Amino acid sequence: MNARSEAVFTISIPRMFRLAAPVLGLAAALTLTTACKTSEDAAAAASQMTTTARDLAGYYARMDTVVVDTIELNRLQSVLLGTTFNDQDVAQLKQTEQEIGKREDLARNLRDLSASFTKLTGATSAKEVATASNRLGSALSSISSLPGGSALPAALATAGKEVEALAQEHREREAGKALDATASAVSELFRQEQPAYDALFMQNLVLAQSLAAELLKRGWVNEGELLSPILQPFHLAPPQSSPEIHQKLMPYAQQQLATQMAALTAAEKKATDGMTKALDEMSERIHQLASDKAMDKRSTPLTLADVEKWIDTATSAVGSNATDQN
Amino acid sequence: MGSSLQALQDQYFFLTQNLSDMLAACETQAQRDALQAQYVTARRNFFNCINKTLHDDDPAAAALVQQMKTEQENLKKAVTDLSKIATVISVITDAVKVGTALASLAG
Repeated sequence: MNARSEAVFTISIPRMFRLAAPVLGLAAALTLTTACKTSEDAAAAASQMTTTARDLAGYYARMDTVVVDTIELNRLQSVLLGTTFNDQDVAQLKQTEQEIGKREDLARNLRDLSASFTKLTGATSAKEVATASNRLGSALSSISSLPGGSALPAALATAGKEVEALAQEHREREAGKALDATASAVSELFRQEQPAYDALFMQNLVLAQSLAAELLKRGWVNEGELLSPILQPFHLAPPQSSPEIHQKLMPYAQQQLATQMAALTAAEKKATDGMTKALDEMSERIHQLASDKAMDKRSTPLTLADVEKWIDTATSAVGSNATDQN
Repeated sequence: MGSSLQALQDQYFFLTQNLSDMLAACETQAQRDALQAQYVTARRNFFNCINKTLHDDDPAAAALVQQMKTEQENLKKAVTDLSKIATVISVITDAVKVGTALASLAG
């Protein structure tokens, strides 16, 4: 296990404390909410949180694939252009991958916790809630920042224990407000880290494009494949590349790179912005619930559709699909 | 995006996109080695910054960001004439030095 390294995405102590400490309050608070407001609002809130957290986990799974791909692309760049990419560089990216993985675990635990609320009907369900809450508390405690940043607030580790304690003590009434703070903190965490997520994705794309351009220049690409739209309807196979085809189709192939680059960039931006908005929306709805107001919306945040689309269209240099199957 | 991350990203991405052409323009192995070294440093600076939240209201960071923007403009101009590769490598070295200073600022 890597040592807890310095904070990656620096979050102030009060914010992380609010995230971790009441996270189990999320369990207890929804128990309270469900008990006192066995209403469509509470059920809708639990359902929305489940979906939002599920997609958050899928988003992080996708980002994990990006980091893994980045390692491979850098190795290929090293082979093609002679750039240095040694154990130090691999280790840094491996740590990044590990931290993204922890955020994915956090989102999955949040999803499981939310899902268990929808089944609150008795002792068995309350036990499921407590178990899920404990797991979420542990997951929060295990998150350190991505490598190279400033020190992670020590309060986070303490907050994880507080989370478990809340479950044990059944401090549901206090947790009602904590649920509100928890949803807000999850939203804020993602928002704070969004620039780094965008940068992680873009560096992968820029590197891939630069190497693709290099392969095109060297003639190490089968441009004949670009003729597939013409030939495929007639079950005819595209030709292997030749000097003539290379010369003729090279500009078109270069344009393909630019077009696809723009499309992939736009899709990621839309997904990340969509995830930010969905988390904000979830937070707002929980706030309404915690404030004893009626929720004005009960449907799943619309922007999650962009997130799910982006997750499902993942392609990988190493051949894996990043869709969350859990 | 924070301006520090943006500045380091702009530098790293620019070098990535132009690396092949610049390497091809190098006349000696020493030039290629110098260029490669600066590229790797720029990449490491960028990934360090990914992992830190830099306080953009830090006056030191703000000043370095501004300096990086100037260096980035110098870099873009230099790369338009790869026949003077030694000059290009010198400009890159100066730019990456500023990037290293920025990336090393603690969050």
